[in-house]
Amino acid sequence: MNRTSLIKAILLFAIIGLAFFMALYPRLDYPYPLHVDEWMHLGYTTQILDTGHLNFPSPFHGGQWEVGGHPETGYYIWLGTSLLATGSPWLVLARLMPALVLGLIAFLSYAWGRKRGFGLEAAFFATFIHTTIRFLGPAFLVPVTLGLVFFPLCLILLEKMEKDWRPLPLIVISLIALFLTHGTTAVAVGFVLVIFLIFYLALSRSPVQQKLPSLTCLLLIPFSGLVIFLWNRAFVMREIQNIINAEHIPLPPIPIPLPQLGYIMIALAVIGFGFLIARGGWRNYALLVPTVILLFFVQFYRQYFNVGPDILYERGWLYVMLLMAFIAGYGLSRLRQLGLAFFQRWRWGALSVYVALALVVVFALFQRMGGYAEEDYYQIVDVAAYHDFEWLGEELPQDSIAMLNPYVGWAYFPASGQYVYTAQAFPWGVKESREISGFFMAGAPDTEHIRERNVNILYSPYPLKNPDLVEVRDGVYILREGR
Amino acid sequence: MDLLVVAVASLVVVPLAVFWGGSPVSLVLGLIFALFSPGYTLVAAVFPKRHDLDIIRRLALSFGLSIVVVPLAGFFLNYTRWGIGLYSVLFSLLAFIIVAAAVAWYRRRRLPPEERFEPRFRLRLCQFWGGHNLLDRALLVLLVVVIIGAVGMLVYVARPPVIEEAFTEFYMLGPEGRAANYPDVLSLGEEATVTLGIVNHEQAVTDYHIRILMGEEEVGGVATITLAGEEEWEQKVSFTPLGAGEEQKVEFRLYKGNENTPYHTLGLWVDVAGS
Repeated sequence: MNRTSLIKAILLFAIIGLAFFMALYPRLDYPYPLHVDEWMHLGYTTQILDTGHLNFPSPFHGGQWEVGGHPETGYYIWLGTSLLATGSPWLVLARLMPALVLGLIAFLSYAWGRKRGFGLEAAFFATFIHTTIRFLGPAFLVPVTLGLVFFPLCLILLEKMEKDWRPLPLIVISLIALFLTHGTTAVAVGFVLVIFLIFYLALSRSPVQQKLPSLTCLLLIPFSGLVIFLWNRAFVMREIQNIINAEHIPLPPIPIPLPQLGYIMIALAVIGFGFLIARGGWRNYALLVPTVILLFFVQFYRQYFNVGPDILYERGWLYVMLLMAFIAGYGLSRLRQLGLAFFQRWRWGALSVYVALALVVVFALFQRMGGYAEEDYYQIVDVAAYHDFEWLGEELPQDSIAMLNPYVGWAYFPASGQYVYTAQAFPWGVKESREISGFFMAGAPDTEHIRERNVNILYSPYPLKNPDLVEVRDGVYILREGR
Repeated sequence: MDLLVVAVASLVVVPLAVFWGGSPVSLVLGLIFALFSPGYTLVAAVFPKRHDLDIIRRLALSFGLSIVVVPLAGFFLNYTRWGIGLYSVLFSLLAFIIVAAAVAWYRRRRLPPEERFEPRFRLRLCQFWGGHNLLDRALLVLLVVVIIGAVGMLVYVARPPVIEEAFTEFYMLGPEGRAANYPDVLSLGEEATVTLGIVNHEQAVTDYHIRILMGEEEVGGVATITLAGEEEWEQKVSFTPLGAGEEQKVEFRLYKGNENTPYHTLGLWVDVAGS
């Protein structure tokens, strides 16, 4: 191993270690999953493993609904396989997996970018991808985070396919798997691949024969989404109808999250944009164009494309940030090359360039951490409540059903293994939340109301005065048997 | 050799997951099984030649394609009679890994030796140490430190943080120690029993005592209970109602230290028949 390889290896492992830390950062002092989606996905994964099938009663609605053809089932299978293969408690994997996935994103970004001279830089800035409670991100154990791995994965396969047929089926099955894991990301990855392929086919000077795999890939990409249609046609048609016909479900607009990445990274991305345009070539345009289109789309879609829930489109910020990470990495690498070329004539020229770059990197990281520290993350449950849920899971029968605040209900099933009467995410579920809250405020006097809903556990912030209930822990009531 | 190592490591995962699930070894090998091995053998089967892919891209595709293979395998299992369970998932992935490894081995055998991808890892530390200058040796030491640091960070990530939230669990079970058969209908003077439990998460040694009241009358209790941090206490506790009446509330009040206000209160309602 020569000195250059040693230095690169040191930097690569340091970046991967940084990725682990960045994924951990929002939960440095909190042991449980943060976002409601994390709890939901853990719950569905557990339910699939318990029932052994992809159609299962929803544990978050008292088992009254059947969940089937869920669009993120591929993710549940992946997470469930990890749970089974390790035999570890899900709480351990809930902390470990986001770190491993962000580490993978960084490593794959390095593997793709190194052939173009910006591998380490791309990997470094890939760790900057922000996480918020609105559009999620790599710090959360959610399908869209896993989907981000597919960007560099497919780009690596795409480059190999320039001279080889073999990556073609791998790209197609990767997209199929992604459509079954997170459809929105599959559309975004497909979009990026299509742009790359169009530029390659149109501008590359490779012989026509060599372009046949890429042309075939371009034609097959749209069909990779058919698998989810074939798997659960009724569900797909229903969702398409909902998206087209449903009222726009607005959420409060979110500020552009890019400043959280730090202005140094943004400046490097702008520099990278400039170099991509200046240097030209199909590879540079293929990286530039989808990034710009996605950036404009996530910023301006509300004015021109008001269909369905905003939350679908807000995920686009994650894809933009990853692509910008590549471009910022490219910008930094170009500055490095230009600096070395210009200063090499002086005795300490090269060293000065590397020191300057190191300072840029360090300040970029400080800025990023500053942006990260400003972010608010909520906690679904505190430690005491989690212990309550665990205790109920241990002491009461598995077929118990609990009624509690619907926004907290997501944590109940993963923690206890028991069903919850209803769980909702804000702002949906306001009606259910008011209904349950009103019932608790009145003291839960109506035993029939409780029994009709098959509930036998009530988790209430208000004292309950129903003689058919036993308060077995602070705020935790169980319905006496036979009542 | 690499294929053999991957196949054997994957074989070991099955008994580990079944019998020692959750152990550190099971965690590490299980993650390799789920996140690396399927992709590695698939890449080896599709790209058997040394010059097909460099080692970095091979590793990258190994991780990435494992994430592709695992969900598809699970989808396939859903439509079989075995469904998605511990054994079906582990054995199906193991079968995939072994078959892909066999295909890779076969395809490599058909190539001239110099064209085959056969990774060899030779740790020639002494040779490196002796053959390089101080700076290179320092870099090697730094590399080892950084690798240990990255692994250490992963271990730090996996461990739950120290909880600073201080609280006490106070709970009530029935007389048999289950959440059932709580006292319901009693006769005047009849002794009723419940099981009370305390778990101290106050992060300090704490004294507790329990009072059992019906109305304003004390009908039972437990004197000072001293618990160390994370210590648990559970005991059957009896009380005797002093007056007849329907829907009388029995309160179980936990006090911490010398405080006069209850720290936690539990309760149930009983009907007390006259003698």
